[in-house]
Amino acid sequence: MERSVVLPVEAISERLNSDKEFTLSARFWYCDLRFSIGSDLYFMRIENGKVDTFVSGSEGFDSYTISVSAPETVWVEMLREKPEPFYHDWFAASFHHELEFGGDLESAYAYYSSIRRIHACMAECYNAQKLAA
Amino acid sequence: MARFSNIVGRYVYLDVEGIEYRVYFEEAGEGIPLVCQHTAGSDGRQYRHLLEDKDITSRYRVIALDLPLHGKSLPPVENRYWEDEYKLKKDWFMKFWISFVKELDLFQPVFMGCSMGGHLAADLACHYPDEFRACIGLESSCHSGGFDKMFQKWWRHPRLSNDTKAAMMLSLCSPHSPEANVRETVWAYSQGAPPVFSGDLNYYGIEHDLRETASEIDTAKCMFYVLSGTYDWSAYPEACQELANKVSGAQYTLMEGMGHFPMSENPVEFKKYLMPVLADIEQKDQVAAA
Repeated sequence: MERSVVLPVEAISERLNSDKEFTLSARFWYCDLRFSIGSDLYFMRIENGKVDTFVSGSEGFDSYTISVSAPETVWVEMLREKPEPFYHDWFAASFHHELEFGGDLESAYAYYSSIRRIHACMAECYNAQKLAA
Repeated sequence: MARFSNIVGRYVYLDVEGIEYRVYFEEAGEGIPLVCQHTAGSDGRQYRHLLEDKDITSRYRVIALDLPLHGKSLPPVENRYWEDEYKLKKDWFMKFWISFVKELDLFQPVFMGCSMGGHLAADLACHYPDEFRACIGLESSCHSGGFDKMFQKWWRHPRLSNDTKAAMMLSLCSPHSPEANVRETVWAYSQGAPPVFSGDLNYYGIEHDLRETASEIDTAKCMFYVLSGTYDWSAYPEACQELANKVSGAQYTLMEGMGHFPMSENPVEFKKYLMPVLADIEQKDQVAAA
């Protein structure tokens, strides 16, 4: 079955590393994030507040400290420009939709504004990619 | 020539359960008193748009206070508050408001509160129906349990900064609200003293519980209105409507595209929903007086 959500990892990395709010809020942050879109996996490494790597696919032994997992149908809703209620935020979605937000909660809460920027920039780049296709 | 706001701020001294509190409040307008309670962890600035709206202040004396420990209302000097964990208690919260209304000599004001203030609107309507002509609960539900671990641990954690609370509050705002208003709303959360938000949620998430008693609210004595935003994941629409459904005669309004902080995150849209409620209160007042 063809995947409907494919994240443009390079565009998202560049977008985040040039985003004023993200670079300010993510300072001093070291973190490995895993995004599960259905069975597809993406891994993002943050080094001192910058996206160091963001890759699609797993090598089988990828470590992570924060995980965001949801079926592809949930991601489709969450990546809309103006999402419907409770798809507008990963935390909100974890209470009302089929999304798991977990891992190192201390890091997740401390850097929640950065995490929200990741979501926002991800949606922006995903929608730009769709528009260009 | 300086451009001044019509809002006037001052302090009043209140006695609640034998402790003196120096309470800051702001007011504007003339007419039916409309007293406003802010959300947990924030302060009365959330109502600044209402306080400056002449369509409202021409008919209502709008009063918004900072609960003790919030905003400009410092903790009482008689308490060694730094030695005890702050927990907002339901009985104290209600007595505080009754004391405030009495000290300001307000005759049957309209009470409006949001989130924990919305929950209090329901509790005041239930327990003190003769003191208020109407209670308006914004984002008000019977109960908001199930988040205890989150707010007790993560929303007051020594290694989490004031950035955290503000960022978490972004999750409760609507993507349709103007960004400047949203950012201002969460800014206030980054200014609260560390124990306050978590301590307030003791009332919001634990002590407030009208699941068995909401039906005791007598709208013939105190009219009760519930308004809720579609993007509020905490006091979500179904939960707020459930409260309104349990109260005979209560009115429920769903605010499309609104989040948890309607009066501050989207005051222009909120006004469209609030004005019919205020008009209804005035109309019922006139009928009662005739």
